[in-house]
Order: sequence, then structure tokens, then C-alpha cells
Amino acid sequence: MSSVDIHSQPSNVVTAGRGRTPPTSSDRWYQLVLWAIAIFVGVIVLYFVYLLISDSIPGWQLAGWDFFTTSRWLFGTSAVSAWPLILGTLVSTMLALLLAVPIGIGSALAIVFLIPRRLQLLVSSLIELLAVVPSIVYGVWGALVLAHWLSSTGQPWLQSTFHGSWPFNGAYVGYGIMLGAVVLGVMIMPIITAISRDVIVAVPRELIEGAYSLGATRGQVIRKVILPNCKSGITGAIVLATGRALGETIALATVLGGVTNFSPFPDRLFATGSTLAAEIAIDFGQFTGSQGSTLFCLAVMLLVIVGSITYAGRSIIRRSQRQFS
Amino acid sequence: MSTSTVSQLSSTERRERVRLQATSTVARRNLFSKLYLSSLAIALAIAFIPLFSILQNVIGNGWHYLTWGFLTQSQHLPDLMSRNAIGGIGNALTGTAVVDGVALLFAVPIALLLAVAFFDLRNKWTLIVRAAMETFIGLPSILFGVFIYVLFVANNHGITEGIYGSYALCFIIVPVSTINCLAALESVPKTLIEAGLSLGSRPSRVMWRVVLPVARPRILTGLFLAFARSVGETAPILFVIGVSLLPTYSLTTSQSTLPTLMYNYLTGSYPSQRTACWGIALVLMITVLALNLISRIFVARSSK
Repeated sequence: MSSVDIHSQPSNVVTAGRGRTPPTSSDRWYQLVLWAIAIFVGVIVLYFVYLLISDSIPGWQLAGWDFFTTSRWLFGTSAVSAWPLILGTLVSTMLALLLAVPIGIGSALAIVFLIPRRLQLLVSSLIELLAVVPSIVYGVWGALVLAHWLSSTGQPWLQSTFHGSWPFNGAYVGYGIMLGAVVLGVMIMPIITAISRDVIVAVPRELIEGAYSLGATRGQVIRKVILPNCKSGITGAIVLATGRALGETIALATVLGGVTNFSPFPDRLFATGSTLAAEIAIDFGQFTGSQGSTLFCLAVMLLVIVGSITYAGRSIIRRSQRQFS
Repeated sequence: MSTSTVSQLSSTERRERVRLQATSTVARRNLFSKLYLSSLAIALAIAFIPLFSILQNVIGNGWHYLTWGFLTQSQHLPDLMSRNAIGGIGNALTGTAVVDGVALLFAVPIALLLAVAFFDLRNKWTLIVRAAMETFIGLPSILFGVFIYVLFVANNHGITEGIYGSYALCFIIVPVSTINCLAALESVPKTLIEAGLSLGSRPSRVMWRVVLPVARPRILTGLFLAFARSVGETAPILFVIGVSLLPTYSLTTSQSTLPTLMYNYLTGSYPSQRTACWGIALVLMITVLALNLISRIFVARSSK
């Protein structure tokens, strides 16, 4: 026997590895503890969903089809309709996306392509500073600074420039859909910037250098190499930002101004309104009995809509991250 | 020239023409690229406007509130004699410390164990719970407040307690820090884990002696980031902790925290309370930013 066969092993050596070793007594405890925590948290999640849905049943029964057919949100009576709130949520989110998507993606591209490498981290963490500002601080900023500026400068200027045509018509008070959209746009912009930047940085160097070597300008590289490759990642970022915007509560509760009953719908830019999440925060203080359970209907709607959007956004981002790895 | 076909031109003329065409194309491309890049620069500049406006207002309007009295005195409700009385935010500071601290105490073991479970037990159930945790990160936090209200406050004759706020904040901290910790665990090189296992260590021992020590800086960062986020949350605790005018460390009575005090001041009708929001906002921003900075120190120190 001159050479030793390294591939054979004595039969008394147990091959160690996850799943192959029979769990010893102490590892059975380890597995048990991990199972226990996973089941504990899972049960809480299920109970959370169950409790919200079961408590909303009296609300659905109380309002019935009025919930989706009438137009008044009179909390505490049986004349409740979710339409003003649903429309307020959709309109404020869409306007916020209109502001945040171009600026968010644009600044992510600017950070990667225009800022010197040494300063990139600094600039992007400054932008991401906006993401750690608590939403109540946004509420204070919106209600005490922006509202005043809009009602004294911004909205009169818009109204006179466009001669009061739609959507710049009617009375203005600063508070309202327009203020909410601006505040919301500022809140979701850093989400889009941060995720887009990660996705853009992950584009393989060879693709970019290949394009440069073929004579492409920086603008062409961005349009023809970066953006097509990052499409799914940026989509995921926008979807996550949409979820955040739909569920934003405290900042909007303080700047949207509330639903008025003579014009409940957000049919113009200066109208006041409310959203599903903000209305829960505003009305929950007067939560009473079966009338109050209509708030749970709003909560269930939020849970379903925002939950599925967040889940979709996460899956899109995860799939796009797998693309280059 | 325009009537002549290309074949009639001499070769020098033809070359000159191609060169001219090429330069104009390049010039057009470069101009377009410059326009494109400058629009990106404008977007970045616009992105900075709200940041500067917020910082300028919070610091400019808030700094003169930063006195020892404001930080330690208890809240003073305006009355007929003194309509501009504010008192301080001592009640909210102690409330924030107690409610958020206890929430962290509850959340850390759950989040760590759950991250380890996601890492070491890969089966259908943990995958489902993991998807649920990722979705919980994006859910509107007011839903957790509603859930805790129904579960505890409604069953307690509507009496609010500080501890309920801690429970509600767990719903913020646990999902965020679990996903952060899981990313930290997954950043540990697979070869280290395999080396440990191949030496005959049990998975639990490898986790305790190899994976957790290597991942520790990133785990701490993840926990601090989640905690920083929970400190600024208003919606989940607004209905469940109530209001406490006096500083107290008790969790079985109502409590005030910085965000809920701000919300009450902002939606109240006294101008002095509304402007005092800036002072509270400054204190809150300093706290949140400090926690974020601390969280970065762990990773920065370990990567040295």
C-alpha cells in the first residue's frame, strides 16, 4: 500500500453536516426551542389577522352595501361610506408617486454616476436621513411650515397662474390633498432612492465598460444598459414605496385636514380629505361599540391591500437580486 | 453638391463628408448626454431641499427649547391663568425610556431566536412565518395599535397602560430586527459553518460558537436600527398608552412618550403647544439619529 486512498473513510467516522447527523439530545432541545419560537410568532401573526377580521364583521353588517355605494363618512352613525377615504388614499398616493418616482430614481442615478466615489456614501446617507425622520416630525413640518407656505404663497400663485381652472380651483387653506401629496412624496422618496441605488450598483461592471468601449456616452449607458437591467429592482422599490404611502398614518392625519361632508371627495388639488389609515388614527379616540367597529373594516382593507403590495414588492426585489448573483 | 451622388465624389471629399457627419452625431450625442446628466443633478438637488428645510426648521425653531427645565419638568396644561404654559417634557422622556426599553427587552430574544430558526430550520412553516415577517415590516403600524387595543385595552375596561405600548412596539421591532439579523447570519461565510460541522460540532454549538460571534456586529446594527425606528413610532402606541402628565417609571399606569406628546400638542388648539412641537421634534430627532449613528459604529469597527 504505497498510496492512501483519500476518498475512502473508516466506517466509524460519522459524516457531520446539517440534516445528516442524527440529532443528539442537546440538539433536540435546540430544534425544539427554534420550533417553539417559530410556532409562537406564527400563531401571533394568525391571531392578529383573525382578530382584525372577526372584529370587523359587526362593521360590515352595520354599514352593509352603503359602505361602497354612498358618499358620506359620518363616523359614529350608520351612514358611513369608505369611498371618500379610499379615494383620498389613492389620490394622495398617486400624486406622491408622481413627485417621488422621478426624483428618487434620478437622484439614485446621480449619486452613482455624478458624485465622486469618495463622496457617494456621504450623499446617499444624507438622502437616507429622510427615511429615519419619524413620521410625526413630517407631520409637524407639514402642518407648521408647508401648510403656511402653501396657503400664503404656493396655492394663490397656482390659482392665479392657471386662472382657477381645474384642479387648481376652489378655496384653499394650506391643509389638504396637495400638502399631503408633497409630505408623502418626501417620505417615500428616500425608499426609492436607497433601493434603486443598491440595484444600480449591482449591475455588473463588464456590461457598463463594454458599453463605454463601444463609444456610448454616459447618458446612453444609463438609458440603454442601467435602466433595462434595473427595471425589476426599481419596480420593486416603487411597489414598496407605494405600500408605505398607502399605509402612512400620522403625518397624513395632521396635514390632510379631514373629510368635509359637503364635498367629501378629493376632486381638486386644494380639497381637504382623509385616508383609510389616517381616519383610523383620527376617529379611534371616539371608538364606541358597534358603530366604532366600522374602523375595523378600514383596518381590514388596509391589511389586505398594503399586505399584498408589500409582499409583491419584496418578491420582485428578491427576484431582481438573484439576477446577477 | 446635393445633386451629385456619392460615387461621383473624390475619395478625400467622401472622407471629409463622413467625418463631418460623425462629428455632428457625436456632438448631438454628447449634448443629449449632458442634458440627461444635468436633469439627474437637478433631481438630486431637489431631493436635498426637504432635508434642509426640515433640519433648518427643527433646529432653528427647536434649539431654544433645549433647557434643563424643558427636559426635566413635567408637562403643564395651559389654563386661564397661564395660557402659554408648557412646562417640560420630563414625563414624555421617562415614558419613552421605559416603554421603548421594555419593548426592546421583549423583542430582542424573540427576534434573535426567530432569525436563528429561519436560518437553521428551513421548512415550510418557517418560510411562511418569514414571509409574514417581511410583510409585517411594510404594514401600516396603526394596525398593530388597533390589535393591541382590542386585545388588552378593550378587555381592561378601556384603561390604558404603558406596558401595552411596549407590546405594540414589539410588532415594529421584531419583524425589522429579525430580517436584519437573518441577513447578518447569512453573511457569515458558509465555509466557516462547514468547518465547524465537519469537526463534529453540533449545529447548536456551531451557531453559538461560530455563527453568532462572527455575525455579532451586524446583528447589533440590525437591532439598533429597528429600535431607532420604534422610538419614532406614534401610530401603534397612540391609543394604548394614554397620557401621563407626571414623570413615572411605572408601566401599569398610563404613559406619555415623545411622539404621542407631539401628536397631542400638534392636534391640540393651543399655539404655545404647537410651537413646542419643535422642541420635542429636536429631542426626538437627536435620539433617533444617535441610535442610527451607534448602529453604524458596530459594523465600522468590525470592518477595520
